[in-house]
Amino acid sequence: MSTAPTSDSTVASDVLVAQTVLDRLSKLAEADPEKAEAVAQAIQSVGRVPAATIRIDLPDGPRGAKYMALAPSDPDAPVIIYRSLIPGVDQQVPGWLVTALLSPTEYQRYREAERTGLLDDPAFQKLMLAGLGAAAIAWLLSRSGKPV
Amino acid sequence: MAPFPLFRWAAAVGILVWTATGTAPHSISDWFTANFPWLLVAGVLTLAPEVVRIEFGGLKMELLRETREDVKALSQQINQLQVQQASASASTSVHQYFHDAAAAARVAADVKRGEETEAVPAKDINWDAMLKAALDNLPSSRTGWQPASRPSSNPEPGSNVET
Repeated sequence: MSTAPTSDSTVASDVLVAQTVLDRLSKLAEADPEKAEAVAQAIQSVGRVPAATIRIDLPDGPRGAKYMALAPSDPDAPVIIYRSLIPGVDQQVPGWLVTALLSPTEYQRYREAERTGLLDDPAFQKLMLAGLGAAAIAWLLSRSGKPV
Repeated sequence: MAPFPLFRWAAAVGILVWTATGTAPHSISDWFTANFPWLLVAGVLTLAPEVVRIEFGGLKMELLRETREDVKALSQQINQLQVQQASASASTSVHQYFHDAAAAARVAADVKRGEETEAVPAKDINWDAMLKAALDNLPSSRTGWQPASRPSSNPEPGSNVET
């Protein structure tokens, strides 16, 4: 569990939100405003409410990153994945970086993979590397304006 | 083996000796005729248990053979069931593995994308505007929702998170 800094303001001033999260939140707002509202509230409470640790090993991700999962009040709303800002990696410390939104189903499946030790499986690690490579290529192509 | 073989054969030999000494035969046929009942008793005493043993043994062998065939058939059925169960279990495990592996890879990719994109301070985001902008794009029949008031200093989210 994280040790949350306290803040008197309604929005924690030390929370950063990745643009991909905002994009997904906008799409969610169009599809289901109430879930989006629940997610928005949860994002603004990051660092001030208890959250669960979640093991995410990114091959070339920030070293020492400890990710947390925070479920909004709506159990059907996406779960927020965030981490604490790291000195030497992030410019602003201390603080929090919201990196992803996971659907409850995705989150449960990831938890199951985590529980069964799948994340330690070399075959899975190769699969994840391949998936990350594909995702990176797709992202680069989408940024360059080419159709994916 | 039939029971009491020594006793039976001794009894048969005793009968033969007794009949041979008791009635001195003038010829084999006379002796045979005179002692036929005793010879019959000796023969029955000697052979009957063997015959019974052979019959009983045959029946036993037949029962044993049928039992072995039944056991073999049951064993084959059990093996077949075990193979089917193992196959189904392996198929489920493989399916589950790739399902979970794919989900985990998607999560890692999502987080990775979040790490690589720019981040915006939460306090600079106009949440109401963002949510309302999304609402403005909805058909008029779906615009009944209004953003809730901003969270208080003791917000609800996270209350259902395992810690």
